[in-house]
Formats: sequence, structure tokens, C-alpha cells
Amino acid sequence: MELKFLDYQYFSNNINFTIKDDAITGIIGSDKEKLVDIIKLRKNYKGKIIFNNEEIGKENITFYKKKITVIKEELEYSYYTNTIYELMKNEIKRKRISLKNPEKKMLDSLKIVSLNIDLNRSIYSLSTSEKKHLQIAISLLSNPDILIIEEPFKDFDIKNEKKIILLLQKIKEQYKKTIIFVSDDSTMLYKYTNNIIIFRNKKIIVEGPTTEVFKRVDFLKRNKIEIPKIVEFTYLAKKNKFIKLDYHKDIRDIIKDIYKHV
Amino acid sequence: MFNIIEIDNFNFKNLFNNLSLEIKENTFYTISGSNNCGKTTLMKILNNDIKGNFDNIKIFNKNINDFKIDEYSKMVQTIFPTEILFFDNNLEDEIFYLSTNTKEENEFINFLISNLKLKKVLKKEKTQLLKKEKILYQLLIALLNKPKLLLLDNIDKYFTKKELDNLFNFFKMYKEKYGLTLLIATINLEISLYTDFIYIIEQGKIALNGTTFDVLQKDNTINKIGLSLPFMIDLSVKLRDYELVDELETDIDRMIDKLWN
Repeated sequence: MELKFLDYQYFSNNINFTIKDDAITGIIGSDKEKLVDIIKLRKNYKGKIIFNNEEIGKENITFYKKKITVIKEELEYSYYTNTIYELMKNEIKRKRISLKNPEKKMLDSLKIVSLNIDLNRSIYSLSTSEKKHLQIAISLLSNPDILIIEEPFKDFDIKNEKKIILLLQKIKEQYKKTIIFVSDDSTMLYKYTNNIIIFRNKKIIVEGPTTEVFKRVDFLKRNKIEIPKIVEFTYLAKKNKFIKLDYHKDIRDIIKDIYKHV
Repeated sequence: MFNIIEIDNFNFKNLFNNLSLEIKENTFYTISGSNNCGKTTLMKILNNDIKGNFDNIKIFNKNINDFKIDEYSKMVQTIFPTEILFFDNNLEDEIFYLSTNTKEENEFINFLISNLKLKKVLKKEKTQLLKKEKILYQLLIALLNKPKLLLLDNIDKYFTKKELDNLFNFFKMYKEKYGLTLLIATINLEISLYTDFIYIIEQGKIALNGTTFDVLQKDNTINKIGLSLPFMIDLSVKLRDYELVDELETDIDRMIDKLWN
């Protein structure tokens, strides 16, 4: 899967970027929500959008919009939806998803996310982690190609964070979904994403492999992006003491590297 | 120092099992623990939202069951980000409605607006507010009561690091001026670096408690509970195990100086 935006006009800026399914992409920056709106395919736009070598136009934009789904930071439900079944039913109705056997699809979605619970279970009784798994299950009802996930790990302890990332990696590899994380948490994005896009002041400030982008510490600070401490440490060791540590993602690797240099 | 909260062998459903803790006045505490350990439930109990026969919970030396609602709300205020309510579309009108409109209180309100950086926020309609703006506004309303105890439930996830720095600087300044005991419930141990003491709940009990630095050094226990240490603390503890540093260091520059001086 490849979603390309070419010379996409956004205010007075020309935006060019590509989302691919072989990488987990992260989006960060003060205008990150605006980039998400662009990826969700706005109705009126100038420029080219190409989805798997096919150009998107007015005649097929609705078809392609359904291939993209956003998982919000928190599970949203109204006073009237009490059970998992009601919540999933609302989603099917809202997105006008055509299904021969909706209940089977609901159960299959829950199975994919390893949520072994009854459809009649109350949403209010779910744990934080179960709610996140449910959100992912709901997003799969429409069989999207792209999952945009806002703040995927906020509120999770180590165990649940690992569970969610393993689930999302499984969804990416096994079900061929493209995963995009949208977050203010640069530490999390540095750890889990392969590519990063920084969207600020209504334009792409930088796009590229995560490790390479985060090495540009001064540039990121000027653009008010928080630097993961593990990156800042390596950067300052080189800048202040000319110690060349590698840019690591795991604290255990940086410790081994420090040990070699002390 | 006076204990504002005393909980003594508290049992509650399947959640708390002989939980005991003490909160001293004019001190900042982090209450942490893995998902579903009961942090928010504890906050709700301390906010008097959950009723029960809680003989082993004393607030200001009085049984929590013995307070009247208005009496309690003058002393204890809580911010639950998931339960923020507005009664008026116009925020400034709501503040006016809730205040006594004395000269002294107006000055205090202006002090809060200025330090919580709410001047522009108050011009917005409630539907335009970001979550963090709602929280700051709710904080202003809570502080109008000049409570002695402020409970914050998982508010940190809505703010950037810089915003949290500013917020906790404000709390410190407020504490010096008016007195304040603060409890913040969070899974994120980075927040504990803003507080003096930590309590970590596990399996219904307090598994770890003490000053922030004393508790954070217990990295193995903290990891087993399922929490992540702040990066610099984690690095310090591991480097100390390798005998590359002698003590914990939270500042990156100082750590680098110690390693390569």
C-alpha cells in the first residue's frame, strides 16, 4: 500500500509526502491534527493524491475515504451505548458498512485483537487496556487499509504497552494494514516508528527515517519538538565531550556503549 | 508536620487490601501503580464520591464519613479530566457566578488567570476548548475555594513537558503563598520528579513509599510492578550498578560531566 500526496495545496504551502505499509509512520508537531485531516482525504483540495498507483478524484474519493480510519485517544461512547454490541452496531451504522453477517464480523474483530469477551459486556466494566483493544477492534469493522492511531500508549503501563504494540505489529504484518501514530510523545515515536513526519506551521518541516530525523537535535528544538532523552544524551555527549555514542532506542544498548567509552 | 490524610488498613471490594498511607500538609505526592491498581478509585474515595463505611480514612483528623458536602468541598478539590462539566457557555460568566465578587477575590482570580495562562482561553466558547484548557479552567474553579488539599487524577497526559514544568512551578508558588497539599495520580513516574514523595500501589497495598529519589532507586521492584522509570533515573541507577557513577543524577549535562571529566 502506498498513499502519495503530490503538490497538495495547504494554505500557501505545497505538501509532498508518502505513507507506505512497510513502515510504522509517526506524525508529530503543533499542527499534526491538520495533517491527519489531509490524510483522511478532504473533500475539496488542489494537488494529486495517489493510492496504490491510482489517482484519487471526485468520483472515487468516497471509496478511498473508507479505507482510512482514525482511532481516537479515548473510547468515545454516548449515554445510550452500554454494551460492546451497541457500540459496534453504531459504528457499522455510522459508516454504512455493508455486512452479510454483522455479528460474525464483530466477533471476528474481537478475536483479531484477542479480546475474549461477550458482545453484551458493558463498556463501563472494561479496563483501560480492554478499551484500547476494543477501539482497535471497532476500527477493523470497516476493513480499512490505513489505521491512524492518536496517542496509542498514553495511560499504559509497560505490560499493556507491549501488548498494544505487539497487536499493532500483528495487524500490520498479518493483515497488511498501514499503521500511523499521531502523538506529542517524541520518546514513544522514536521507540516505535520507522518513519516520522513533523507538521508545523501548516507545512511539513521534515520527513524521513525516525532515527535520522531525531538526530537533528538543534533543528528539532528550534521547531519546538521535544527530544527523547536517550537521543539528547548521545547528542550532548558528542557536542560537549566529543564522545561518539551510537543513537540507540534501548537504554541497555546505550549503557553498553557508555561503558565502552568510559 | 500535620497529617492531612490518614488511611489505616483500608479494605475496599477486591481492590484495596489493608492499604495504609499518610499525607502530610504542604507536601506534594505522586500516587502511582500499574493499570487498574485503583489510583482513580482512591481519588474518588478521597473526593467523597464513593460512599461507604470508611472508618479507617481520616481527613484533617476527622472521619471522612462525618463531613458535610459543602464543608468538604471547601477543603478538598479534585480534577478528573473525564468529568469536567460546564454550567455556562461563557466561562467568564461562570467565574462571575461562582465568585463572591469582593475586591480580594477578584485579585485572587486575576492572579489565577495570569499564572494558569487562561486569559485567552476565557474568551473561547466551551466547545472550542482543548482538553488541557478545560483542565486548567477546572483548576481555576477548584482553587477559588482555596482548598487545602488538591487531588489531580491523571491530568499529566494532556500536557507537554514544558506545560507541566510551568504548572508545577505555579503549584510551588501557590503552596508558598497560600499553603497546598497536592496528590497526583499517574502511571507516569516522570511526574514524580515534581513531587516530594511517592506511593506505589500494587495488589491492593502500598508496595513502595518514601521520598521520590529513595523510591525511584528501587528499579527492579518498579519494573516488576510494570512501571517505567524516568530515563535519567533509570540511566543513573544502571550506571551506578556498573560503578560508573556514585549517585543518581537527573540532569543530562551534569551526568555527562561526571562520566567524562
